[in-house]
Amino acid sequence: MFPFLIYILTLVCIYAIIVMSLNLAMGYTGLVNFGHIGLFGIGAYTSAILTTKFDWPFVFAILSAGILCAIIGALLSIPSRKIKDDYFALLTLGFLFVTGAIFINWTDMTRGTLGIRGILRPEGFTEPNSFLILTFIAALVTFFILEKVTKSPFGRVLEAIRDDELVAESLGKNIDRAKMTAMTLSGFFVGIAGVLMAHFIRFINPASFWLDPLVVALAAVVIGGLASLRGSILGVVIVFAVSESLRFLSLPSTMIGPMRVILFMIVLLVVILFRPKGIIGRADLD
Amino acid sequence: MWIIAQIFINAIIAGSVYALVASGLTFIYATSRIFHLAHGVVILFGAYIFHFVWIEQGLSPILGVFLSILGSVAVGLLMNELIYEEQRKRHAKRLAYLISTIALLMLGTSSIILIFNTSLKTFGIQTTVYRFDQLNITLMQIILIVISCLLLILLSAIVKYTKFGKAMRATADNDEVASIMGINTRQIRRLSFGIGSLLASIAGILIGLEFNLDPNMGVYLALKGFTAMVIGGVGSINGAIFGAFLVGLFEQIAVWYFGAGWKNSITFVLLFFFLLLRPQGIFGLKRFR
Amino acid sequence: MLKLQNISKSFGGVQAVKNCSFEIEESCITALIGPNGAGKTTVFNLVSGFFNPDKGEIFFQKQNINNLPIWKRSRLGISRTFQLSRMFRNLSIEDNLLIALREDDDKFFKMFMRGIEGDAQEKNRIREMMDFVGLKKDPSTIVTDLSYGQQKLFDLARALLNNHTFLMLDEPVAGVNPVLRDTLKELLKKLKSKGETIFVIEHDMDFVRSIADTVIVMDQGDVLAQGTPVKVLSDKSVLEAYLGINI
Repeated sequence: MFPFLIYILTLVCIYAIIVMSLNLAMGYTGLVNFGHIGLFGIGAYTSAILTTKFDWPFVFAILSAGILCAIIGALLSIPSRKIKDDYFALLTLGFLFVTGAIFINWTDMTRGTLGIRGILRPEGFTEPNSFLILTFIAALVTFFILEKVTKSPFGRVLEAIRDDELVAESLGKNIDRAKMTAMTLSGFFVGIAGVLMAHFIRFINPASFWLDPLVVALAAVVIGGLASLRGSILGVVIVFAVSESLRFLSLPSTMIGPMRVILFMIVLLVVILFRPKGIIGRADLD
Repeated sequence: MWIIAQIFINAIIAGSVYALVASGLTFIYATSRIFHLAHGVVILFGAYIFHFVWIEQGLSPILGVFLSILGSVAVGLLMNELIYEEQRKRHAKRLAYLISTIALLMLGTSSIILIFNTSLKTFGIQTTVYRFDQLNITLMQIILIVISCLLLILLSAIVKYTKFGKAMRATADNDEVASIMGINTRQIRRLSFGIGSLLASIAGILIGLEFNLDPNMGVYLALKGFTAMVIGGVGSINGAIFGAFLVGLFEQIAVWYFGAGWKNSITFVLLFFFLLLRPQGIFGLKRFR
Repeated sequence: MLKLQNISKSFGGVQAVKNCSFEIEESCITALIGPNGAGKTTVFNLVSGFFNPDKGEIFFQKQNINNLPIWKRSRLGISRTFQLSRMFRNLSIEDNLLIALREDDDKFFKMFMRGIEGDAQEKNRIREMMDFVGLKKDPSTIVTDLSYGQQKLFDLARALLNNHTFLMLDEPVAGVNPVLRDTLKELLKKLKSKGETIFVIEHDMDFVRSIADTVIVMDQGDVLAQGTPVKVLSDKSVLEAYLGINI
């Protein structure tokens, strides 16, 4: 029971980073980025490749992955100048599909569907307990930095962009730069989350960065509430609680995966119908 | 040279399937202003029910078609009544509909896995292959193209000539005015979901017969349908049909040039460039026709 | 101060503004009038930079602003309200106004370490402005709780707080009650006496007559007449253009 609890808590910390950074883009800035999980995958693959294939030390790998994802995140914000709202969202879903195809087809680097095995945990954090501490610290740092950003005047500008970007711009705000900054930060943190995931599970394949994590992240961010980092953490906890409670039903193992998704989505639909701002969110979707 | 001809033939086959998806999406979008991506799983439900009745239970395929239509229409209507209409009552915004349709898409995909399990479903139909020099086309594929053309013609006829079509166009133009004029817009939406889902089940059956079935297809179909819609100019059925064939063509070119692994991603490259360079679509039509 | 030179703009097949030229003087109130669809709001949007003209040049304080993005035009000193009030609907009145008041809160690195609360001076200015326009509400109210008339006042307050030298008001008294209309009339006069340059779209002729120094009449995308209210509003062609619409 105890190792299992450590395992779940580590996942909760990693997902908390994913969902908080998604909330920065989606809840605060109004950029619904389904490609978030694509960035998550890029972070994981970058670090996995750098450490296993090129024997880079963990610290350099995690930094490179974070920076690469930050850059790609920034690039993703560029089309949002012309492509808005649901069109932007679906375009980023397309980005997820493209990253998925790259993970599968760029076999020289990613080993395709076989995935990458033997990813090592960083020295000093090889035990589950110490790795949990590492991810917990990462989640905490993410929370404090994002809290600082969102509670600053800059964060208020992001919220203004979410609510009405034309008015924000006509009040003299450089909205393109602000959106790019938000997406850069969002990309950086989710990249870090990807690295932690790769080195925690020690095996990644294209399926790890496909629709399942997207479903979890989306459910958590909406259930917890948009434009609330505490909400995101709460959302992740709820989603994992729902998911793990399924274990007590002693379902056949093939049923657990789909049952999970079904449950998440039902909760998500109920929240979006009856409480569109989420449990402790401050904004609703436009 | 023959390879180009073969690419075109394959593009027409794929395109006629995507055209059914995209026109269904447009049909529904016109009255509800929702990108009903969950349409992808409505299609799959039709396909899986047909497979279940005919292949797994060994019952008559006619019964299979009938039950598959019934199943798809029921699923489509339920989605509309339980989720979209409830959201509409609460004045939901576009992005809220998008989240709920994605949720329904995932919910549907997982339900299909749960009910019919993940294994690849094949129909194993033997069909005549016609060869012209090096070109291949099967009887099944010809039937697929013919049926989908007939359905598309039927759809345009409904929109153009029936009273329902007229009410639908009015709703598409401006649903507030339409409802002031005494059109029951909720009923119109219900009907468009019904007809759209009916089309979906037939599209599903055709897809199953030609391409085999896998639960993730719903997501791809929905996004290809959406891309086709964007290419043709959102809201225009003819545009969506044109877009569908373009998606089919680009896909086949990608398969030929880059390999089958890139088939599904090329669509998004197309989507990206159209959204960026020509967001109003090729025809630039905003009105529903 | 503002100069439009042969501006044309069409949407699809509809020519909203054609070959329109006029100039606006500093420190006075210029009213832009004309029947519905004359292209008045399009002119505003062209000046704000929401879209670029197909033809022609726009000069603001002698500078060609044709290719400047919206936010840079705002930084130059162009501030505006909207025909239908638009606001940051999930934020409070105070947050909405702080965004208008602060100049460079879109700079991430500069803002990162600052607190979100306005300082005493900023809060004071917001209170004063709310008093000035007569918006009697708790600043922490979420803006969507404002009534229609209050939204109009809020919109004006926001445009005034935004650092500006040139104020564009799109139908400030449309749909408000007569009492509020008189209040707004007095407000605009007060602003003018403070030296503000105001460019205002308005349908209400009494209102225009009592506040405007200059009137520009637009019809079918073009300037029909320009001059003092007395002169322009007795012009025959102007009356014709307005025939059937409130004279």
